[in-house]
Amino acid sequence: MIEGRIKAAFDSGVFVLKLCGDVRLTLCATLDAEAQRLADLPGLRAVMVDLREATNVDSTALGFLAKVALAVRGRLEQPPTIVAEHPDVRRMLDVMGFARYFTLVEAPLTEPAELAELPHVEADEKAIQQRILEAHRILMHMSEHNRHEFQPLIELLESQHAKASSH
Amino acid sequence: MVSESRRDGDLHKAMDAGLIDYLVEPLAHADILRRLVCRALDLDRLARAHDESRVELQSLNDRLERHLEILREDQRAGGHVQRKLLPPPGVTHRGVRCDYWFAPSLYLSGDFLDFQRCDERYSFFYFADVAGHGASSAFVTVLLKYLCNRWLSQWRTLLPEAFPSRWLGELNRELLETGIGKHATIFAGVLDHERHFLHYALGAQLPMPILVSEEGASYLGGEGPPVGLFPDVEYPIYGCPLPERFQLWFCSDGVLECLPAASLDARLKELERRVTRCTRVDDLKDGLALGDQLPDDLSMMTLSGFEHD
Repeated sequence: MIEGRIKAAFDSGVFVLKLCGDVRLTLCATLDAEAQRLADLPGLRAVMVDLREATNVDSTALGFLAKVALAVRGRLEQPPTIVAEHPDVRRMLDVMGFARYFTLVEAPLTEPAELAELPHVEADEKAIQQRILEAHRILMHMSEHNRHEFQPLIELLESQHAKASSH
Repeated sequence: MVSESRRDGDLHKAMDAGLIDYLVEPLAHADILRRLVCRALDLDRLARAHDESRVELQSLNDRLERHLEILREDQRAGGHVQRKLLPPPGVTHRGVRCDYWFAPSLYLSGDFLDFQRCDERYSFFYFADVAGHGASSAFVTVLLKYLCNRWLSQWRTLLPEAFPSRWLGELNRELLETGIGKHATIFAGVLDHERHFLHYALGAQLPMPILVSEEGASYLGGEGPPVGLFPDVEYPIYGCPLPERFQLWFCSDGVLECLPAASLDARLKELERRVTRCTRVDDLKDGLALGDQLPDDLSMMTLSGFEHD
């Protein structure tokens, strides 16, 4: 199975989102960020989703595509277009009722221009540390038992965090 | 090691004892000797640091494993509660028996099902698959259970044939209002035990339920959008007469990944073929290529009747 990839391009008011391979929910943080950003994109005139190279799109990824459609609804002249050839993918789109919110076609009218890889929304080490720290703080506050268990780890993380910040 | 002369025998012994380096005629090479000493000291420092960090890593690892175990226990407890919310296995309402097999991909499942008696004549059931899996999806299944029970308490005020469709509409609205951002595929039905009829509505159920009777097996028809994704949608009302002896099969989409065929269409055909040969949920489960860890939550349910009492 080919690993899932998401590519995006924005040119002359047209936003193109291309999903390739086996797209599963692990990738969906990227899609979610895209849905929000798309809605506020200045000069946006059309949205196109290319699924021709997707072998599988899981339900969560489909959910995010639907959110893209809802986010731009009422802002664009035409509903977003989905290009899909694979019968399995088309079946999924039909079952999910996407025809009401997207124009479904088998081939794009014009080939989308060169696509650039969408960068993984990856948090830097400091941000990850911050998030782990936050999660453990929350766990700690949930019960006295947890507090006892996590206190040493929190202290360790906090000291590392302080060290990293002072650099 | 420093030595005035080079003797292989001594060198071998020193090698076995952990020799780092050696120098012949050290007094003639004072600078090299100085550097060798420095290097030996460095190596010693490194070895100490290595040991220290190994001890630290080990204790971190222990702590991590302890925390992981706590989280695992927590998840297991959650899974236990989730199972408690399911109907008792083999529960029978007026001659229709419900059996199921329920396997989360992790500890908690995004799949859920229920079968409840409404009154003397009708019973209600649903089979749902919340997008994604794990804890976040499992929370939504609890919400489903709650919304179902609340809606069932109004059973008397609603038309039985419209009940599934109205409930899905309500579910859609409630899920969107919570803003959880999770949607679900779902099939909901009302069984009329007197007229032997099934009233149903569905939200993007795939695979569709299969009705097996003496005449053979076939997928039920119908369509509808998933719940919790699109605002202001209505769910069409469908109906289907049930023969005196019937079995309805429900599978979550996880089953499709466990069937050997290449295309979705071929997998659906394979599922239909297998279901015809099976009489119990376990028969179907045993024939699937299940790995150690399931790629998705997997559940199956059968409703069989009307002869069970």
